Amino acid sequence: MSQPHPRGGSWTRFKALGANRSRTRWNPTGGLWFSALRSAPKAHRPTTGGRIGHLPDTGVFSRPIHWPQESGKRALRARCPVQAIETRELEKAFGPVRALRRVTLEVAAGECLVIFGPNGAGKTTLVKILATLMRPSAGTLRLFGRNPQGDDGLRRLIGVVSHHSYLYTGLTALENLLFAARMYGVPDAAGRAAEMLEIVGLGPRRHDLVRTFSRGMLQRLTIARALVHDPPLLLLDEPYTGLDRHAAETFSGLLERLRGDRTIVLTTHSIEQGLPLADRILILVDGAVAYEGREGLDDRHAVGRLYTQVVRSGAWVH
Amino acid sequence: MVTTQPRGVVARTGPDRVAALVWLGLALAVGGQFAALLYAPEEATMGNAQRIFYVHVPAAWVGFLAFAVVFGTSLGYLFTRRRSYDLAAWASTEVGVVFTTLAILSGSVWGRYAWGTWWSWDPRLTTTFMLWLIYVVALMVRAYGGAGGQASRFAAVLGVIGFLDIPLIHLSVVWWRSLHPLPVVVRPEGFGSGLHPAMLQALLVNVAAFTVLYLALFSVRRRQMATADVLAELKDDELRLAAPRWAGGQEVPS
Amino acid sequence: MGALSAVRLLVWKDLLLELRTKEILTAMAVFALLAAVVFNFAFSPSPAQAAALLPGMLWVTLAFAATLGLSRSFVLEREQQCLEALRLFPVDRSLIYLGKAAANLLFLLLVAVLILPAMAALSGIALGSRLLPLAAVLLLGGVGLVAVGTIFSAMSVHTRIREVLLPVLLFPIASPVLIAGVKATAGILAGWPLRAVLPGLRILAAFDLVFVVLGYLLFEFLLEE
Repeated sequence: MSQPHPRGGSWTRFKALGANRSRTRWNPTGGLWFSALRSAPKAHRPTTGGRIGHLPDTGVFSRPIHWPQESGKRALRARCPVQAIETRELEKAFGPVRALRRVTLEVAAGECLVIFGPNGAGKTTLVKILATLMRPSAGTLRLFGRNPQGDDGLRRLIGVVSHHSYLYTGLTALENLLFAARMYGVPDAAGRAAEMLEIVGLGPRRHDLVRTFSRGMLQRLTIARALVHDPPLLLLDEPYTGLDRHAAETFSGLLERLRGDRTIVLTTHSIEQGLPLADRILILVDGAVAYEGREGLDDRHAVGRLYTQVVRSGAWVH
Repeated sequence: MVTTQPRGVVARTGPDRVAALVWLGLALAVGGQFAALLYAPEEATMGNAQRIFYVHVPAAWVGFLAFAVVFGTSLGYLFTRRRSYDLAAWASTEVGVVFTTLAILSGSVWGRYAWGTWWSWDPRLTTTFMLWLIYVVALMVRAYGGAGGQASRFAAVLGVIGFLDIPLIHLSVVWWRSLHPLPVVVRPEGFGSGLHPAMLQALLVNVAAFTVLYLALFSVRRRQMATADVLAELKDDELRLAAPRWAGGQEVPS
Repeated sequence: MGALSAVRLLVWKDLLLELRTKEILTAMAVFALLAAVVFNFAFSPSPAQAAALLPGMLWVTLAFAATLGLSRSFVLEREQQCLEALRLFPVDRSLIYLGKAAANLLFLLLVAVLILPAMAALSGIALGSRLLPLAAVLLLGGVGLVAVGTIFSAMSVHTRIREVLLPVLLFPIASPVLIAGVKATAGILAGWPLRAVLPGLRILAAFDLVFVVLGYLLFEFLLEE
C-alpha cells in the first residue's frame, strides 16, 4: 500500500489534532505525532541520510532538521572539503574481546556528532582511537585527510575532554594551562592561558592549586585546557559524568558558546544531555554502529524510543 | 589480534609434526645420555663426576638459544603486533626457564665437584643465573602485566632489553670477579682445544638432543596457547550471542 | 616545537610539581639516611670494614631510593590520567621518556650528593681529593639506573603490583650498574690508578648509551594501547 509523502499526509492530520496540546522545546508537536504515526500504516519512509543496521523498521517519523547556522556551516564545508573524521571498517580487539566492529563513520567539519550507547558499547574505545591514543586493530582512520599514525603534528588539531581531568592537582590552574599551551606550541602561551581562564570564569582562582577545585570547576578547567590551543576538532568522552544538573547545563552552555566552527564528537549515555548539541547522532551497541543519522533530533522522546529499540534488538554488524 | 588474522589453530589432518618432534627429541636425548655415560671416555682430573657436563652445557646452550628466540620474536611483535609472535615469545620464555634452571642446577652440582662448593660466583654461572632471573621476571610480567595486550607489550620490551643486557652483565661480572679467579679445572667449551674427539661427539649429540627437545616443547606450548586464544574468542562470541535475549526482558526475534 | 624545548618543558613541569609537594625528594632523602643508619646497625663495621662496605651501602641505598623516586614520579602522572594527556601533545612520545628520565636523574643525583658525604661521615672516611672521579661514577651510574628505571616504572605503574614489580624488574637488569658502580667506587676510594677503574667506567658508559637509546626507541610502543 503506497503512502503519500509524510509531509502531505499525516503532517496535516496531526497539525489539526495538536491545536491545544502543550508544546515544549523538547516536544514541539506536543507528542502528537506519535498518535499520527500509530494510525498510519507502516510504510517505507524516506530518511534524511540515516543508516540503520540490521534493525526492524522503527517507523520514526522523518522531518527536515533546521540548522540555525546553516549558511555558516555550508560555507565552512565549502572551505574545508576534507572530512574532519573519516573511519573505515574500524576494528579494535582486546585479546578475544572485540570492542569495535567494522565502525565506519564520517564527520564533516563543523558538525557535532553525539554518540550514544549503553555501557560497554565501545564509546570510550572509539573516542580514544579518534584521539590517536589507541591504535585500531584493523581499518583506517583519517583526521582532516591525514593518517594519524606517525603524524605527531596532527595532534595539534585535536582537543580531548575526558572524564579524567588531565590536570596536575599539585599545580595551579594557570600553571596547568601554561604547561598545556606551551606543549602545544601556542604562540603567546601565557596570554592565551590567562585568556582561557577568563573565558571559563576561573580567572580569580588562577593561582589556586587544582587540588582545591570542585568538580564543576575542574570540568571548566578541563575544557579550558582542551581548547587552549584552539583545536578544530574536539572530542569529549562522557563529559557529563558526575555533574549535577546545574553544572551540566553550565557545561553545555559553555560548549555551545565555544563551539564556533569546531567539529565536535561527544559521547554520553544520557540522551537529554547530549541531544541539544547534536547535529547528528550515532548509536553504538556492542561495538557496532547500530544507528547513524539525523532522525527527529528535536524530539527527545523519539530518540529515546529509537535508542531503546536499538539497544534491545542488539544490532549486530558482522 | 584475532579479528584480523586467520585463526592459528584449524582442524588439521595429516601427521602431527609436533608429536614427531617430541619423539625425535626423546630418542636423541636417550641416545645422547647413553653416549655421555658409556661412549665418552672418563675425564682425567675429575673422573665420572665430569659427565654432568653433557647435561650442563647443552642445557645452558638451549637456555641462551631460547632467550635469543624471545628477543627475535619480541622484536617481531614490536614491529607487527601479530599475536603469533607474542605467543612464540611467551612459549620460548617458559621453555627457556626450564632449561636454564636445569643448567644452573647441573652447573652447581658440577661446581661442587670441581671447586668443592655448591655456588661460586663463576662468571658464566653468574650470568646464567641473571639470565634465569630475567626470564622469571618476564613470566611475572606476563602474569601481572594486565589484560588486553598490555602484558604482551611489556613482556616484549623486557625481552628486547633483557637480551641486550646479557653481554653487559657478563662483562661486569667478569670484571668483578677478575680479582678472584677460580682454579680452572676443565674448560667446558673446549671445542678444538683439547677435548677428546669422543667427548666432543657425545657433547654434540646431546646438544642436538636438547635443541630438538626445546623445539618440541616450544611447539607444544605455543599450540596450547593458540588454542586457548581460540577458546576465549569462542566463549566471548557465545556470550554476546546470548546477550540480546536478556536485555530488557523483551523477546526479540534473533 | 623543538625536541630540546619539549624535554625542557617536561622537566620544568616535574620540577615545579616537586617544588610544590616535595614528596619525592623528602621520601628519597629520608629513606637514604635511614638506610645508612640501618646498615651501620646491621653490620656494626669497624673503621677498616666501613671503608670496604661503603661502596656497597651507597649503591644499594641509591638503587632503592631510585625505586622510590621513579615509582612516585609515575604515580603522579597516573592520578588524573595525565600520562594520556602527555601522549596527546603534538610531540614525539619518546620525549616523554627523556623528560621523565632527566627529571628523575636530577632527583637521584641530588640525593646522591646528600647521602655520600653523610655515609662517609658515618663511616669515618675522608673523600677529599677523590670527589671528581666519584662524581663521574655517580653520574654514569645514575644515568643507567634512571634510563632503565623510567622504562620499568612506566610499565609497573600500569599493573596491579606496581610497588613490587619495579624493583623486581630493575635490579636484575640494572645489575651491571650496581656491579660496576660498586667496584669502581671501591677502587676510587682505595686509591687505584685510573687505568684500573676505567673498565668499570666503560661498562657504565656502554650501559647508559645502550639503554637510553633503547628507552627512546621503545617508549612509544610501551605506552600505546
